[in-house]
Amino acid sequence: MVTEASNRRDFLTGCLTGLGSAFALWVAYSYTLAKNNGDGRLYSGIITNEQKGGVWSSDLSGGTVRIEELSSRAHEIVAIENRQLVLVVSRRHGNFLQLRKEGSLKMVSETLNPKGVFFCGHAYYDAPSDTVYTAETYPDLQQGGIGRYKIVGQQLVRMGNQLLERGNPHQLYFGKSTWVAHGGVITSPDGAGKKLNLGKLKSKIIYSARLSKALSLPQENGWMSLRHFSCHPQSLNIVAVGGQDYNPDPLTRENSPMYVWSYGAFSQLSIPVGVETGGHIGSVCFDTTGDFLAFSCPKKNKILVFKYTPTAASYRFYDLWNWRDVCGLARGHEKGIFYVTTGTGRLLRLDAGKKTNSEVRSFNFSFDNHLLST
Amino acid sequence: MRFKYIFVAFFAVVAAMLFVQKATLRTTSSDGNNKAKQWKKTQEQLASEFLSSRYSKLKASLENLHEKTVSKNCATKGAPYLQQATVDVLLGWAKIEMIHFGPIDHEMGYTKTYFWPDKHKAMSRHLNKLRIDLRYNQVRPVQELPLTVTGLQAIEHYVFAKDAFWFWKKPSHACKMLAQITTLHSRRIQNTLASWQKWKADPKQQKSLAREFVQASADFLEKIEEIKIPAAKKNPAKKHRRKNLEAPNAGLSAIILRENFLGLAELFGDPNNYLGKLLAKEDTAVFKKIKDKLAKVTSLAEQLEPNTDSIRSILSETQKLKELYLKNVPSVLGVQMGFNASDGD
Repeated sequence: MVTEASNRRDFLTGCLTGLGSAFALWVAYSYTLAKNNGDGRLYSGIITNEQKGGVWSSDLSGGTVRIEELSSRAHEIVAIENRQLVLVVSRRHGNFLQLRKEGSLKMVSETLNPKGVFFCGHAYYDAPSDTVYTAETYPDLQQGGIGRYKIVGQQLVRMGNQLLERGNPHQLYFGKSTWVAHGGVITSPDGAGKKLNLGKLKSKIIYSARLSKALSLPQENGWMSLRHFSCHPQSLNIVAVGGQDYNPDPLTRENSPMYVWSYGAFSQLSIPVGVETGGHIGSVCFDTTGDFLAFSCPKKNKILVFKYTPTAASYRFYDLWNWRDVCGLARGHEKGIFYVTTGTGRLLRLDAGKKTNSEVRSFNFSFDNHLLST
Repeated sequence: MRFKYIFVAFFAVVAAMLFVQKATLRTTSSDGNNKAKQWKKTQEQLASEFLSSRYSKLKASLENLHEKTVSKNCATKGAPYLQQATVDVLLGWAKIEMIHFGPIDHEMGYTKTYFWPDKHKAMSRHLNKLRIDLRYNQVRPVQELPLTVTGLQAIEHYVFAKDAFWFWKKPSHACKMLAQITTLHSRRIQNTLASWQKWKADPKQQKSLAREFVQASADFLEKIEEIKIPAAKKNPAKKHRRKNLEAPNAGLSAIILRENFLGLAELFGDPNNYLGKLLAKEDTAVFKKIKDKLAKVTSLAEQLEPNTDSIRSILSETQKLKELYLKNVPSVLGVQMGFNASDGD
């Protein structure tokens, strides 16, 4: 009897030790994995197989994935660094802004659009002033503007807005300098998002904090909407801009809607004959040094890379990558490194300097528009 | 004794955990397995039959054209001697033109093979430069010439265009240049073919190739609708000239269009092969609609006349086909088109 009881006790001890050891191994494995993957994380909106919107996050090696479903599609995710939060911005004619926990993506608070206001998919968080700026459209007024929110506690509180003349803004930057890609598109008041003034767009890049100064394209093009840009990581005076040409005739559409605004002047980037962009740039991104500049062309399934040439003091075409439905672009922590996402669910790491790439991971959902790396 | 029990229990727990993990990872039922097998089979058929046969035919027609360019008859008889072989090459390309992905797209190979439409008149400008270079005997090696003057569309120009007499001023030189160009293309197509022959269906990526086909076909339908058919419309500025016809000198635009549609019909309209087989199995009604619409546009392409009514009618049917395709085919086949398929803001 004594032996039987003792055996049972030993068996239970063994089970507990086994469980404990397995758990310890799992913790050690996860820790090593997380350590090897570095500190950064990636965030993006997604479209699930059921055609629902969602938000996704993973570490830089595609591990420790978190996915949360959304009521509709997200366009951009913005880092709120000093609060360990991210802001999920709904896609144009969007109706929500969500604060979620960094990493876990757990919802912290949701802010719905005020009456008559729709979000245009982009926002910017300015840490020193603890303010969130949002690109907005006011269909009743047939105008766009910039909304201003303060983070109070864990909630966004609307402080006001400023109207822009003619059309809706898209990407924003309200850091050490101010940049607003003013796409110029006016949308229908029914909220369906129908573009009303194509062919007569007066798109521009706004560059003053009071939103009063703007620069137009070197050549007037009523079909061109400047929608995305990237600020040079080292210089406040260099911004790369990507446009979308809505010209219905593909033969006269601008094939290189890629510009660099440098010290007050716009210059158009040139690309080799035969390289097709479809006149449509999805994302723009400098690498961490500013030596490499990448544009994604989702309609022609391409990433174009430009390299800074000091002798010419300009960016020259450097490389080309073909990935179906490619759009999301984010800089990595090292020189020449970009992370890339595609509508076919691929997450790639591109080393522009070495002209190499590797697939980080492939998922069974679509990545939707922009990618954020932290 | 005591440690023995502890060890046994430890390994039993770890083994049980591993077993549970594996069991949860096992996702497919037998139905799922069957579907996966069908997809695998279709992918292998697409690579080993559809792609291989078409690239092989194109390669054979390129080699035929090459042989003609190196024969003595080329210099003596000139362009007319090469015309039939050039038509075969162009039609060979039309049959595989929809494949704008994979090895052919490596290092811009697709655009290097066929540069069309001539956006911003790049080809015309480069042809002019080549004409001047030829006049002063300053021609660079073919490999260094711009892709606009070395693609298959350029061969069509040299062989058929009435205003390409400058190219034939020194026939032996013209033949030599064409021989070099055809060698370039033959090599590229040979490499593409070899890559596809090596291609093996990856079980993890069970739908990857088929997905590429579904997406590329959608892109191709858009190209036909946006560029190919409108190119046949009259240019309002120059009433008697078409805007940017495909293979205009050889008069092949309508035939190329027909070949394009036939390629799509082979892919989606055959209930016993390729994606048509999968489509018919998943949804017979959708398969039938797509098949009928493809037959209609193909017949309209065969009868295509350069008049407004004819163009309007094929354009409208192509638009309907594209809508039908985008609405049904990807969802029936379970292929995610990506955000770009609908907008891409």
